[in-house]
Amino acid sequence: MQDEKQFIAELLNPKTQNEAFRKLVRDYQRPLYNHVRTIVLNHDDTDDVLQNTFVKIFQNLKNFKGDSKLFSWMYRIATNEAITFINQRARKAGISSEEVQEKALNSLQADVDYDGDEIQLKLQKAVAILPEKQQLVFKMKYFEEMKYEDMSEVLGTSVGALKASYFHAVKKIEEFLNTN
Amino acid sequence: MKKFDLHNDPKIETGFKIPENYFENLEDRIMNQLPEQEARVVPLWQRKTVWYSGVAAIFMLSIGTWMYFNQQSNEIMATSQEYLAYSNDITTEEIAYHLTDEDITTIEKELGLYDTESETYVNEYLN
Repeated sequence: MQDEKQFIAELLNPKTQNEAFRKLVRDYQRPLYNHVRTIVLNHDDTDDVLQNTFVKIFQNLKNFKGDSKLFSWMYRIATNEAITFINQRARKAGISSEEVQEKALNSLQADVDYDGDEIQLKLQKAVAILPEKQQLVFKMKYFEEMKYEDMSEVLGTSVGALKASYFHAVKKIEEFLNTN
Repeated sequence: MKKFDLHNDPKIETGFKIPENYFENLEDRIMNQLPEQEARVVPLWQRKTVWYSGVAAIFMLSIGTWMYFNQQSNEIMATSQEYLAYSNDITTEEIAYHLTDEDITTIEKELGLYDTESETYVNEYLN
């Protein structure tokens, strides 16, 4: 905690800010990339969202109150940016967010930045049938292997509710995989 | 066919690929997108240049005002002089043309033309 307080101070100090922020990018680019990509699926879109995320993090550092961990605050920003991205695309195309996701899934196989096999693709399709929040819970637990306590901070949901949500998500996915 | 058991089966990966050197380049790309550091916001009244500009403005205004009023009195004089110069070219006929009956009566009264004593004297003189 003390280390984090020190780091935050460096991030807020104009003299040390740039160097500190570069370290922040280096430390979190991979986990945040993976998090965003599980939501938007496509690499190029992930790249856009991730850059926006880091810029937003930089701009809002002065508003970070320290009542949550830095990483969960950043993950929240990343999640919001990814969802906003999908919603904006849906609005522009005059379709629903679910349809945007469906299109992204259908393009996945032909995507140069995807080499998943049949089962991996089937799993992505299975996850897509879940409600938005439950999708997030499943992806963060299964793909990102996040601890429930950390997930709770990011999503603002109790650990118990998250465990229940994940349990039900797995059931639905297994049913889809076993019948398709 | 074996049923899927996500809890116990080996993890099924996403299948996502990341372009080579993506993360090596990302840091610089992000840093290049960051906004310029915000200038420290200083209240207007604390800025020296604002004070200097204010004093200069007051100074210029004062000079300007003085010059304006100076110019006005000069103008009035000039106008008056022009008027007098102009009026020298006016003939008595023109003056008479522009006078109203009321004006004439007033002038005659002032000159005492209806003074009965004078009228008597003139009549006596003429007769």
